[in-house]
Amino acid sequence: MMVDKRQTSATDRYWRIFVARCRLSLTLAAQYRWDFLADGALSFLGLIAGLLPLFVAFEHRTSVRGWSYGEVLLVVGFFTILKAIFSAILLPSLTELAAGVRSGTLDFLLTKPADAQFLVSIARFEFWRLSSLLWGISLCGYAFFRIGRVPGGVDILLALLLLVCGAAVLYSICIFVASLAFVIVKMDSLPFIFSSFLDFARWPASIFRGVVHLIFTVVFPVAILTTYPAEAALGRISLSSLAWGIAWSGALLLLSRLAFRVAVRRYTSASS
Amino acid sequence: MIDVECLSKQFRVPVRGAGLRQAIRALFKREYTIVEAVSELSFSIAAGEKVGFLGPNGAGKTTTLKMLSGLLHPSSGSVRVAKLEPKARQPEFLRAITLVMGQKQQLIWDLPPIDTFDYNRAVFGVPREEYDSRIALLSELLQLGDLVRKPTRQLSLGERMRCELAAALIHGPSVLFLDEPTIGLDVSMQLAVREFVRDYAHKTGATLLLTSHYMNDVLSLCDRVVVIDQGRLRYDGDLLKLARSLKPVKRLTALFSSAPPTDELERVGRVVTLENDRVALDVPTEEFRQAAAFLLARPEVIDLSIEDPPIDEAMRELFAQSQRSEHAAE
Amino acid sequence: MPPSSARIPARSERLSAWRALPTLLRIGFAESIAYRGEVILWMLTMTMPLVSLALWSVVAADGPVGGYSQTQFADYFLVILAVRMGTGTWVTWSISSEVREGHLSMRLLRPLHPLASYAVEMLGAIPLRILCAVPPAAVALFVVASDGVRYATPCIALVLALIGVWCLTFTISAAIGALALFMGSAIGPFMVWQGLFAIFSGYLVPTKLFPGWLSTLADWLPFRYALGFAAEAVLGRLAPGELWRGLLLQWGYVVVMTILTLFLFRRGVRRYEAYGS
Repeated sequence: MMVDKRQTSATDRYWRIFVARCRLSLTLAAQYRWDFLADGALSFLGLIAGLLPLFVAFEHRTSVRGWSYGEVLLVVGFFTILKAIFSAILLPSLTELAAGVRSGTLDFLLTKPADAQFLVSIARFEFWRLSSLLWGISLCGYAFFRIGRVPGGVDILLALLLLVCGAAVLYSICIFVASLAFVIVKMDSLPFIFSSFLDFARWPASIFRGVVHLIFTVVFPVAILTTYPAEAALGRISLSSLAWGIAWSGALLLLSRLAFRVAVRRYTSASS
Repeated sequence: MIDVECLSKQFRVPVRGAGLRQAIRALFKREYTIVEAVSELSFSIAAGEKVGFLGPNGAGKTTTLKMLSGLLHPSSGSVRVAKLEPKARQPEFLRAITLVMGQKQQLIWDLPPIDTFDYNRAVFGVPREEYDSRIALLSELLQLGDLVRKPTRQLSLGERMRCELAAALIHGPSVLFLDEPTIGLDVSMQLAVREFVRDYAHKTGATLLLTSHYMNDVLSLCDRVVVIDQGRLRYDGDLLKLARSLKPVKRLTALFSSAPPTDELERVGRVVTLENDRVALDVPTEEFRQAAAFLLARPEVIDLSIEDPPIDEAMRELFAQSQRSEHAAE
Repeated sequence: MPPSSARIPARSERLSAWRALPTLLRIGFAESIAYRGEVILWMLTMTMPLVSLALWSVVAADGPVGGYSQTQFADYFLVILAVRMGTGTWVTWSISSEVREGHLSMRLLRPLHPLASYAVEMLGAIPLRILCAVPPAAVALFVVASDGVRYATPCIALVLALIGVWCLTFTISAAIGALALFMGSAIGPFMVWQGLFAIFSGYLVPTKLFPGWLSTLADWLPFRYALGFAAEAVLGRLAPGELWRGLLLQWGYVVVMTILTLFLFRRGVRRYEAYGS
């Protein structure tokens, strides 16, 4: 009983930390109102800019490597959803961490009585960036309208499952990058490099061939992020892809947790 | 050299309440208040004068210095420095002045200071011979030595401040605005900077306007002080007269091992603060030896320090006095 | 109007500014070398042309699209990457953060227009930038090397176009940075600019592939002249008439943007509250 009670209170505490963080982030965000307005415009602009090559390409072709216009739109839709989550939650925390390592404020964070990885993960949110979540969902809807059919219930569930896997992969890679931040002090640009490499998840992974394809399925598995959920939603994901997506995302979560612990230990022992 | 007449500066400051709700409300409707940072300030400083610019925190000193150096545009009134209007920022004006801010730096962070010196030489168009001789003088006065060839980020605060001063003086300005040049420096470094400024001003005959938290800076550098409070002129005149009117006192801070004997202490001097076992005592300078001896003779005193009271407090006292005398005059 | 009311410095002033140039360039260069690591890492964030390249090389696998074959797409995006690396600038970030932290004051205390001091700093970084641009350019020229150019672009036009790209990118970025003097931060407008730039500059798609009206729009907007125009000139895709008309428009935009930026600085500095005490 006692143990149980303490555990609820711990979850409760973590929940409260989370809520407090959210409030703080919202307050901070509201202070820069121009950025706020511009961000709304930006998420739309970003969407258009991202779709532009597709508009033009499908003026000239009806399918690209077996993907029709609507099907590619679905991939871009999932990409927009994941990118929204990434830039609202993961990227701000990551940049905060990079700044923290450089200025030494990270030490405050590590001395707090809560899990360091948890605190690092929620260091900052930029909620208004979730606006493009709406764009992503609408885009997925429009994609199915273009394809001209309604996805089955099982397909949707599988797609959601793989989307969660995709988010897990994204989060794991962020934690890897964060672990790196402890080792390399001057890495302000690292989060941005990572975020720009994320753009390779924009198109179906099958447009890449050979070694590049292998890299994008295993080392930097952008295929799990967007292509697998799209394939699942289209009801044509292979069993091997499904298994690989679930297994590898789980493994990456564990591996990144491990890497983070090693990095923190190194950091705390190095800085007296 | 410096003429300030009826100078005022108002800031429009957004009112921002604490908390999330207030922040969201500010998104849609932002309220402002007008803050009068400097109001109807007038004084003038002749060439070669060394003037201390005093006042409590937030009195408008920095705002005034920024207007004098052309960084801020006055809301009203007029300013002339070296017969020029600062806000026009004409090259002749910028060549005539320099502004050193203890909390801002102009040295290029990743490069050695010598590169910033060279940058300033080029920008200010200082002829090579003049530059060389000035560098020689500054190096000697500030004991720069090899410091100038190390990347700025590797320098200590004191070393950086010395280089900062040199960078600010490469173009041989005739008017020096120094805003807290010794802030954050340790005592010996403060002394070094102070001596440098004095020597430099003496050698070049430059006009000096200085703000500082440390009374000693002003005492050793300036003959005249301008005191402002809440943006208004409170005193302008001889430093010695001001110092005399301030009744020179020393502050003795004693740490007691048991409850301090307050009554007895009151007889020795004025008790300024009393926190548990720590007592701060202001004693007239001519009596502080006896007072210290008295305290040291007591076995329950376990620590004792003697220092000048902070300039802020001295100022506050001055304002209280001047207000009292105003009332008396009425 | 800004140009007429702008104070014209005395002749000797201008002369000394030119004399200062070599020293300032040297220091700007030294500074860029001091943080070469960051500069090179920033270059790595320019992945979008490669992302586009991946798509287009698949699309063009079965035959040319809008006059671009597979290899020509590869050339195009590599040249785009190289030009962007060489001519990009972080001046918006510099101005915005210096305004916020009050470091702009230090520039205002020197008898050199802040815009000029930023320009010199950015110019100083160009050798390093060009060094970074060599790999993609070399791959484009020697590895991919598509089936020859259609128009030989005169050397002088090429140089003018590339310098024009730099000038236009710099002035627009500086103008956006100057907005920080009015709004406290320029990052928002900068993001908007980036979005429009991605669409209309040829960064993601050669603007000639757009449907008619959009392509014409891109021809008239400034974005293309801050990137794609120069890449097309390098690849010999512009007929002489198009080339010279483009150059005229490009430099026209440079002049307009310079005047606008100077105006924004003039007005902005008056409002500048020299933040951070």
